[in-house]
Amino acid sequence: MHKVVQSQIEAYLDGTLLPLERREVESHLRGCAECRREMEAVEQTRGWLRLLVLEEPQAPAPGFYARVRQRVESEEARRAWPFWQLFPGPTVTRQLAYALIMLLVLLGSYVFTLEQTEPVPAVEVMLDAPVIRAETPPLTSDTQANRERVMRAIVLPLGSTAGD
Amino acid sequence: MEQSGLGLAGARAASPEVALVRRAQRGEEEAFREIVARYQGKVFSIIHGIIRNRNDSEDIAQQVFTKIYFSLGKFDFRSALVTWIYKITVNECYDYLRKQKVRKLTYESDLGEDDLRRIDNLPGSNRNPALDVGRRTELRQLVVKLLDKVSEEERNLLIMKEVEGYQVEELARLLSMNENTVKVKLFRARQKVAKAAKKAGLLRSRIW
Repeated sequence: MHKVVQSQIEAYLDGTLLPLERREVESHLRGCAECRREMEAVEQTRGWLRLLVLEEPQAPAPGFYARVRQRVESEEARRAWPFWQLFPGPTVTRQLAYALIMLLVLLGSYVFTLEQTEPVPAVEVMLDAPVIRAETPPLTSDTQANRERVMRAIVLPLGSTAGD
Repeated sequence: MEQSGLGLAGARAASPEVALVRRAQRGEEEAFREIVARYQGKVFSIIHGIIRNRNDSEDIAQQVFTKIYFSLGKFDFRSALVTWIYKITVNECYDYLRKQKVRKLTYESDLGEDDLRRIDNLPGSNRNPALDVGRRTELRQLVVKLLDKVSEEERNLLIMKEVEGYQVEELARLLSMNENTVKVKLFRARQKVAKAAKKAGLLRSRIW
């Protein structure tokens, strides 16, 4: 767009150009197809933007300040617990996050329990320990019996109540 | 060329609005209440102009004032309070729309020849009797989408100029900018919107 039009475009659109200035712009537009096209595009987009103008001004329902205040307070509470900032959103999201964390904790403890009851590594480690080997009766082919002997050899000397 | 923001901010320093903001910044509940009372209508209207849903508008308006409450301490008086509030409000609307995503907007692929002709013939007024309510809603959504194609500053400028009706001189004063800077920024913003419209197939003539 040529400067003669570009520099005056806002006033031209607003209709606030002086008659002489307006004639100058219009005369240029008549002779310049490029500026005319651009001006048409600007006028069109301007018309669309005006679709956002409200027919009547709007206002919130009474009690708006109280509702804002409530929101501010819950935001303050949220900020006091920054952990929850990981889960922005409505209460449902937070409840889901809670449920997920609980599930992870439960799964974690389940896996931990499984690892503790795994017999093979325990027996192998114990068999490698010289002190234990000295106090442990000879191994038999019965794995369960071996495991019990090993456990007795370790646990009972420590004064544990593990009599089972 | 930008004018000195400090000069204009200095000129504004003694205004009652500055005193109000300073009181709110010091944590005076009553001052914040007054800010809400003073701007709630404007904020609600801007939101409603973009979103057109009363329940959502209320929710976004609450969010806007919550943001204002928590960021008021950072407000540096370089622009007028109303411009700062505008910026937060329009940004909140666009954040909301981006989150919604369900608002599928109509581009050329969805528009028939008749539709394009009606859009092409749309005059510079929001009271075109040729447009029924459904069409108006559709076009409004399209405009909102087009405005998403420009920068935050350009979007705010266009909305303040075309939707809120501020003149260039007022915008310059509110934004602590030179009038020429405002004009250049507005022109670039208009160009970008027109280009986005062209890309969407809404402007069939070759531009720029």
